[in-house]
Amino acid sequence: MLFPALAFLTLFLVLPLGITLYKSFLASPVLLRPDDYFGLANYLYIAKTGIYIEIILRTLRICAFVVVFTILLSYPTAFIFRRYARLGGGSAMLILSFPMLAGPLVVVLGWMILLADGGPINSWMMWLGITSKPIEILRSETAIIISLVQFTLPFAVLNIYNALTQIEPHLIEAARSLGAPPLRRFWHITLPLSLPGVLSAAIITFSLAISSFIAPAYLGGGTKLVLTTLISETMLGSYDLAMASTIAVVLLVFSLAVVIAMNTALARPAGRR
Amino acid sequence: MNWLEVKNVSKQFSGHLAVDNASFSAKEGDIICLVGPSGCGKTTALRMIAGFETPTSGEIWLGGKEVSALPAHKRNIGITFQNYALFPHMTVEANVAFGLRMRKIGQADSRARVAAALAMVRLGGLEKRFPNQLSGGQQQRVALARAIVIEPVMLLLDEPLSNLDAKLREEMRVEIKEIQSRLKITTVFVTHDQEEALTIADRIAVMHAGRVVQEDSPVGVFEKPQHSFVAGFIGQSNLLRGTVGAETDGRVTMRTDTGLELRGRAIKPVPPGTPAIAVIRHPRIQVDRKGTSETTLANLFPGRVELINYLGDAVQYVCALGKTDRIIATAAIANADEIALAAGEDVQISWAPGDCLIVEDASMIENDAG
Amino acid sequence: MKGRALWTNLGAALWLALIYLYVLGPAVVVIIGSFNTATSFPSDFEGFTLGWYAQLAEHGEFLDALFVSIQIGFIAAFIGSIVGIPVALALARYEFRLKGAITAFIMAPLILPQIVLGMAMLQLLTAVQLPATFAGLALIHAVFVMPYVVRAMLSCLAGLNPSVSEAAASLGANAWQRFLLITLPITRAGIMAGFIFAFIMSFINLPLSLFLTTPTSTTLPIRMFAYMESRIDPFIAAVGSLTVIAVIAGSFFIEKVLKVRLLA
Repeated sequence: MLFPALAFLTLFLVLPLGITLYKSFLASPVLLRPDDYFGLANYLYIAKTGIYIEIILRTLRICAFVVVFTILLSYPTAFIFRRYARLGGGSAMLILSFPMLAGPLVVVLGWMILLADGGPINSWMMWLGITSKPIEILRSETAIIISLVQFTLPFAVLNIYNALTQIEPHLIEAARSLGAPPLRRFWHITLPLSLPGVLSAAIITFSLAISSFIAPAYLGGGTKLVLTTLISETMLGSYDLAMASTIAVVLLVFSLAVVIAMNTALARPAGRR
Repeated sequence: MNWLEVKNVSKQFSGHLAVDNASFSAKEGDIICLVGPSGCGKTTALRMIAGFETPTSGEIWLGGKEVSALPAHKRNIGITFQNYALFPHMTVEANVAFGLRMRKIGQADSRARVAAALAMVRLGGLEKRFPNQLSGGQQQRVALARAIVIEPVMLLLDEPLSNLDAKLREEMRVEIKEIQSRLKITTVFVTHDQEEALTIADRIAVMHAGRVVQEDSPVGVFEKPQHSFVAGFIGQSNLLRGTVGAETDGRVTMRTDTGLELRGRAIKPVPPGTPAIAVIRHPRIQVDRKGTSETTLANLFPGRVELINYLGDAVQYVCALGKTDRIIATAAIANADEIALAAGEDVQISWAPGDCLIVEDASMIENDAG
Repeated sequence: MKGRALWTNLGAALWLALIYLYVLGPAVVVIIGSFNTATSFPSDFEGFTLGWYAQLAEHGEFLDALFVSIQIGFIAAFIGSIVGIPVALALARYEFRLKGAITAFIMAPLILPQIVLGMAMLQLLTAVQLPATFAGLALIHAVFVMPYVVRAMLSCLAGLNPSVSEAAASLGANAWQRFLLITLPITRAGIMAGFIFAFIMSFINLPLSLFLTTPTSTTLPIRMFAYMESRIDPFIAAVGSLTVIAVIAGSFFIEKVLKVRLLA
C-alpha cells in the first residue's frame, strides 16, 4: 500500500535532489577551477561573497517579518472567528482562502496594480495626507512583505483557529468559576494552550515565505533578490548549473533547519516550562 | 468432541505479548465466554479465531480443521464488533444482505432470509433505514442479524453489550442467549463484565495478562477459583493477604499480613509458609452489634461500621476490621427498616471457615476492599 | 454590560472587515481591472468593457498554454491519486513503526521550495540525457500534488470505522471486493475532492514549471509570467480573473457539494 508512493517519491524526489546535491559540489565556472573539481568551493564562495550573504540575510529577514506580522494579524482574526463561530462558520474560512486558491500569480498582479506609483494605495495615502508625493512601494522588501503576509494569512488563521477550538471549553469555565476575569482567563488559559497552534502556523508561514518565488520576483524588482529568485537568475541568466545547485541546497538547508527546529519545539509537551 | 479448539496459542506484537500460550475449547452449540479486564488478550484471541490476526504459535481448530492459515473471508464465521461496524453507506437491508451477496444468493431468497433475520432480532420494518438513523441498541441488533443470516458455523461476539446502558444490556443479554440457543451455533462471547459471563456462558475462560487462568463452568469459576486472580475478579469478594499456617481437620489456617488469624478451606492444597489470599464474598460476612452473641465461630473479629450503602434489596456495610483492614459485607433486606446498624457503631465481624477460600497468591490481583 | 458587548462586536466586525479587505483586495482589484477600458495600469477606472476577454481568442499562445496546463493538471492529479490513495488508506488504518517518519516523507513536497523541486527534476532529466520533456513536467507536478490527495483522503477517512472493513471480510468479501464495495463508495467524496484539489494546485503553480517548459509545452502561469515581464494591462487581468473564477468554483464544489474539508 505504501510501496508505490515511497518508490515514486524516491525516484522523482529523492533522486533528483540527490543529483542536485551532487552538482552543488562541482565548481561554478566563475571560480575557474579544473573541470573535474569536486568539493566545497561553491559553498565557500557563497560564504565569503558579500552579495550572497546579503541575499541570504534578506531572505531570512523578510521571512522573519512575514512570520511576525502574519501571526500578529491572524491570532485576533482566528480568535474572532472562534468567538462568533456560529455565524458563517465554514464559508467565512473558505472565502478567506481565496488568494491561496487563486494562485500567487493573480495575487501578485493585484499588488502590482495596488502598490504602483499612480495606484490606489498611493492615491489614498496622498488623499489622507500621509504623504505629499507618491512613495515607491513597489520594488522593495516592504512590498514583498506586504504581499506575503496577505498570502499566508489564511493558513495561519486556520491553524490558530483549529488550535483554539481544541481548547476544552470547560477549562475556561473552570477558570471563570475560580474568579478569573476575561483578560486573565485569556492570558493564563487560552494563550498558553493555543501556543502549539501558533507555532504550527509560524512553521507553515515560514515555509511558504521562504519558498515564495513570484512575489519577490515581481515586487522586489531586479535588485532585491532572495534565494529563490537568485536560483532563477543563476539558472536562466548565467546558466550556472553548479552554483544554482549550491544555492538550492543552501535554501533547502535553511528551510528544513527552521522547520525541524520549530517542530521539535512543538513536540515538547505543553505545560512544561 | 469439542467443536472449537484453541491450542497453546500465542500472539506476539512488537514489544508486547498479547496472548501467552492460551488454550480453551467449546462443544458444538455452546457459548464460551472469554472474560477478563482490559488488555488481558481476550479480544486478540477472538481476532485470531476470526482470522484478522495470525497466531505467532499454536493451533486453532474449527469443526475438525486447523484454520490458522485460512484467510478471514473464507472462514464462514459471523462476527459482531464492539462498535457495530455497520456499513454506513448501505441501508439496514443491504447491510444484512451483504454476506448473502458474497455467497451469491439470489435476490428473492436473500430478501426472505434478511426478513427472517431481522424478525429474529425484532427489528422488522426498519429495512430502509441507514445506520446513522438508528439507536445503539438497534445498531447492535442489525449487526447481530447480519452475522446470523449467513448461517455461519460459529458466532464471535466482541463485547457486544459494552456500549449499551445498563437496562438495555440486561435485555439484550437475554435475547442473545435465546437466539443462540435456538440456532445452536457455537459462540465465543468476549466481555469484561464478569456478571455477564456468569449469566450467559456455558463455559468460561478467565484471562489475565494474555493467559487463560482458569477454564471452567460458571459454577466452577465462581465456587472453586483455582487462581487468586479468578477469585478476585469473579463475584464481589473481600481479599486478605497473608501466609498459610498449618492444616487441621480439613481446615487451613492463615495469618494475614496485618496479624489476624483466619481459618478457611483450600480447594487446591497450599503448603504452609506460602503467600496466600483469603477470599470471602460480600454476602457471606456477618456483621452484628458488639456482644450480640457468644459465638465460637472461628473467624470472629472486632470492627466498626464506617459507611452504609443502601442498595435497595440489600444493604452494604463498609467496616474497619481489626486495626488496619477494611471489609465489606452485604446483607439482603426486605425493607429499609431492617437496617440494624449505624455508621460509627462498634461491631463484631465474622464468617464461616467454609466460606473463606484460601488461594495461593499469584500476586497480580485487584483488591477491591482496599 | 450591553454597551460593552456592542463595542466589542463592532470592533470585531471592523477588524474582520479590514482583514478581509486586505486578503481579498488584490484578487478583487484584478477582477475589476479586467473590465477597464484603459490600456495599462496604473490608471483609474475609465470605462466598462468586455473587450479584453474577447481578445483571449486572438492570443493563441494563451489558449495553447491553457490546454497544456489542463493536461498537466489532469495527469498530475491522476498520478497523485493512484499513488496517494493507498498511502492514505494505509496511514488511516494501521499503526506501524516509522509511521511518523513516513508521514513526514509523504508530506515533504509541501514544504520543500517548489523552485528547487523543478530544478531538481531538470537535473534528473539532464542526467539521464532526456530533454526537458512534457513527462518531466507532469511527474514533478505529480510529486507536488500527491500530499494534497493524501490530505484530502485522510480528512475523509478520519470518521471511518476501521472495523467496517473487517466486518466485510468476515462476511466473505475478499480484498478486491472490500475495496470496491466498501472502501471506494465510502471514500468517494474524498477521492473526488483530492483529485480536484490536486488539479487546482497544479494548475496555478509557477515555480515547478519554471525550468521545465519548452516552446511547445508552456503552462498558463508561465505564459502569463512572460507576458507580465513586459507589461501589465487589463488583458492579463482578464486571464487572471478567469483563473480565479474557475478555481474558486472548483473549491466551492469540493467544500459544499462533496462536503470534504480541505484546509484542515
